[in-house]
Amino acid sequence: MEEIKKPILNEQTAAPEEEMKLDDARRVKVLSPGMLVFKRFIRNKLAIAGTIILVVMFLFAFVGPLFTPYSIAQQFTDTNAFQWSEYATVMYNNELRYTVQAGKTFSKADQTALMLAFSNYRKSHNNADLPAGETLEFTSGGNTYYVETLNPEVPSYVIRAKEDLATVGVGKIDISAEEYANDPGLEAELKKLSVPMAPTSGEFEYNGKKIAFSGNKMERKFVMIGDPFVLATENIFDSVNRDYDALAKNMQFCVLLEEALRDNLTSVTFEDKTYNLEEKGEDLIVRDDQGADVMTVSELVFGTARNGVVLTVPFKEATQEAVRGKVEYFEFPDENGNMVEARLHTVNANIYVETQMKSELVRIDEPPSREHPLGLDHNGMDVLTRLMYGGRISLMVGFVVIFFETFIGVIIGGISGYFGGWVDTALMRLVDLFNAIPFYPMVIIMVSVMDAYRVSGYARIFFLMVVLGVLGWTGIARVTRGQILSLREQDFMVATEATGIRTSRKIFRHLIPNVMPLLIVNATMGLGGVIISEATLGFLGLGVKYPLASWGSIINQATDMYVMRTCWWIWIPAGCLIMLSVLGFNFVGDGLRDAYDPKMKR
Amino acid sequence: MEAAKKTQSAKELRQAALDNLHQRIAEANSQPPLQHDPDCVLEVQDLYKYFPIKTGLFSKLAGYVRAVDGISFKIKKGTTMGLVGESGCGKTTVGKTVLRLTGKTAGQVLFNGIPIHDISRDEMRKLRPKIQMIFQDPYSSLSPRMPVSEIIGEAVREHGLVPENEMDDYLDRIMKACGLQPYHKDRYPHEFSGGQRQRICIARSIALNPDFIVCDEPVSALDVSIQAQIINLLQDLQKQFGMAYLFISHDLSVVEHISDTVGVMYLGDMVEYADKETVFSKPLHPYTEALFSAIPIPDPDAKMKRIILQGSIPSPANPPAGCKFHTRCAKCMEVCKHEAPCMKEVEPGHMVRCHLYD
Repeated sequence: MEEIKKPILNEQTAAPEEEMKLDDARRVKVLSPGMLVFKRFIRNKLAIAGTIILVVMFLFAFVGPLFTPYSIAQQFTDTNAFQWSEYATVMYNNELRYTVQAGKTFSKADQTALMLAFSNYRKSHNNADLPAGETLEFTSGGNTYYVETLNPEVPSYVIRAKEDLATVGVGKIDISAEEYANDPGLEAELKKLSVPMAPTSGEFEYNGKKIAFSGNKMERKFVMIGDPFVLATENIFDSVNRDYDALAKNMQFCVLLEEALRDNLTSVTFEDKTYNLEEKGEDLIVRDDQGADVMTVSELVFGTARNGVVLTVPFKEATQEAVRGKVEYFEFPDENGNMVEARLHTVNANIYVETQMKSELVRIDEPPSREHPLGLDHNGMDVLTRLMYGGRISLMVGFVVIFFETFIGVIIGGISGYFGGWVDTALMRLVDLFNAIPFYPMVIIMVSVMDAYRVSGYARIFFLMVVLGVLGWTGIARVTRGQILSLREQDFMVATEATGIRTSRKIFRHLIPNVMPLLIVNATMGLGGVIISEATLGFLGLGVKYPLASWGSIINQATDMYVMRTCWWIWIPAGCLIMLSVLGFNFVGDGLRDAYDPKMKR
Repeated sequence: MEAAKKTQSAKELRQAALDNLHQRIAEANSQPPLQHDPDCVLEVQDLYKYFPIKTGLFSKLAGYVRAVDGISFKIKKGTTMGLVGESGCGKTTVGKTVLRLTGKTAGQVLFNGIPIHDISRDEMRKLRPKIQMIFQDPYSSLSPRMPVSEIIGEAVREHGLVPENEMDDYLDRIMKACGLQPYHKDRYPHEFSGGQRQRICIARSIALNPDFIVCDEPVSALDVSIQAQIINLLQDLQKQFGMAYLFISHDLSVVEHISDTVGVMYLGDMVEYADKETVFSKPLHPYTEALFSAIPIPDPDAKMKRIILQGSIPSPANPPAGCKFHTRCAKCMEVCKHEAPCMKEVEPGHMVRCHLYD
């Protein structure tokens, strides 16, 4: 019996054929399926193109950073840069400012009444302003005021008040105004009017002042229109320093200056001092008799915009000239007498005077140069370097995710396909469940959770990979299951059963090698998809966070309209890299699929 | 009302038919154990293989596809039994069931006296090398990602039949025996023609020193010249190794050439079973007659008396009542329509299932 079982077979039993040696030239070269696939693959031009693209990408992303002199988040600054920065603000004054004589009051309510009087006047006079020399009467809080135009060009006004002067009865004269208390001339005048025969109302002039009276035969009240006590003007009286503040607030002096401005005087005398005036257009510069600056009178309001800056008269002069002349760039002498370049920057009614200041500037959005072949981005970082590091993350995410997806997919799909029955049904329903999870809402929720917990950059990438993998394995599971289901029914799988091969060997030596090509093709094609997903998340700001970079988050900068319109070097290269690598993966995947397809003849 | 009654009765009829089938299965299962004949390598008694048809939301049993409907035969050591029949008559299912590649529904299968359907899976796995199978399609029966040496040697290693250091020589011998050259070892299946692939399949089977091989239409996918080579190879190997074959085919001339005994199947039933010479010289069953009348005679002057069967083979899920062949039988009698015939030994060693020989 055993003799038959293990026979020595020397004679050939069928199909006699000349035996060939292994080194026989006629011998057809033996190719393993793997070699065959490789040969078919390298014949596919598109696949080779894809491979070259991918190799270049990999060198770029993984080897490139070793050669770049910059690091991923290195910010480039210019320490010697000059930047226009605000020095002072200038504004045209459009409202009346009130300078009130010391000891007198002109309240807000009075100011409002004045405005009302002006507007009533304009209404009744066809929008014309109060002309010079005319007096407008208005009342406020029981007092009567008179306003007259001092200089209609500014415009400026002086306001007088009707003041009680005296009460005169029969044989009784009672002067209530202090300044006239012991004035015999006035008393004489009043005496004439203290008799019952005198008129009961009328007016007369005394010392150049109008005095009006009214009453009855027994008693008359005398009122007079007082000296101007309020100056209302759109000019600003701006003292050079604190010493002259009181002078700038002195109503009489201000009236003097307004009059001088109106009458083009070159000097005024006030409180025994002579002040020289220099008129510059509509402005006035006041100097004392030694020639030192005292104050300026101008419609322009100045304000400092920088700490420790004192606005000098020469600066104001130069600025006023520039503002009046609508010049953009001008020069003014600073405290040390050096000429400083300045420019006017007009925003609505505000005019900013800007000077150049030396400061450290981040060189954002710098176009490509020799040092930075792809320029600098919106954070002043080298775009090329960030593309390299970003490529690392993008490709790494792609690979890890696809590995993860394939791992889960093969296990779930393999179990599902091999065991079939209710296991298959249960697992496929699980796949349906995962397919039904909305991807972007899920990722957005996860990202906001990570934001809340302040997850660090690399942990973020890790979690992102996990989520992409967990939500993406279903496709591969389905494909694997389908393939294993069809393989399971093939005769060679029946043959493994008939020859009594172990289950583990059946799976790992027969099933897996036959599923492998499909998996490789699917994984390669899927890689492109994962990279696109990652880029999409990055672009939406849900992916890798600054200062780490990925290609998607680099493109994210193009959400800024300025960058999008003017800085092509920031986002076009990243977009091209994504497109190229996805194309590369798809070409290689297509090439692999064609190479593995047994129907394709070699 | 009428319609409701009708559906009611149809339902009842269906249930009655199911009950009838279940009773037959139970009867076959309650048969006393088969007595092992030491001369026989394979003994099959009342083998049933029904595939359940399930319908509806809850997979309710609606009926059975009666692929193998009570078959008995014996194969002696070193002999070949041919199994012929139309497509879909259950030949392949018989082959797979006697190998326990699919479970049986009822009946007994003894291999060398071992009831192979009743032993554990592990015992069965150890027994596998002794019972082998050669498949119809040489293209799908070889794993495309394995070299020939591994395809042939895998199971040999798995069962430890040959020490590792003699493995190479052993594979060379087996391959030579099957008409393959040793340098084919490192090649992959896609590099071979259909005939060579079938030789690889045969080599895979005989490398395990089987006692019994099921050849499931091993030559039907091959062209005629290659068919002859493979048939001769199988016969030569049988002479050398002394294994028994169950040769399943629809090609009668091939069966005539290779078989010692022949079984004819129709719709899951064995209708005739006898020695090759008996069957071919004196077919008794009308189906066998019709089948054999189709064999072309290589003589242009010979007058052929073709018996042309009307219609096609009925569905095995719903076979005709009575004799399953009566719908197409030229000699149909009234009794055939109601009563199923039994297998009878009409002559010594010649079994027929037909009412003509009652």
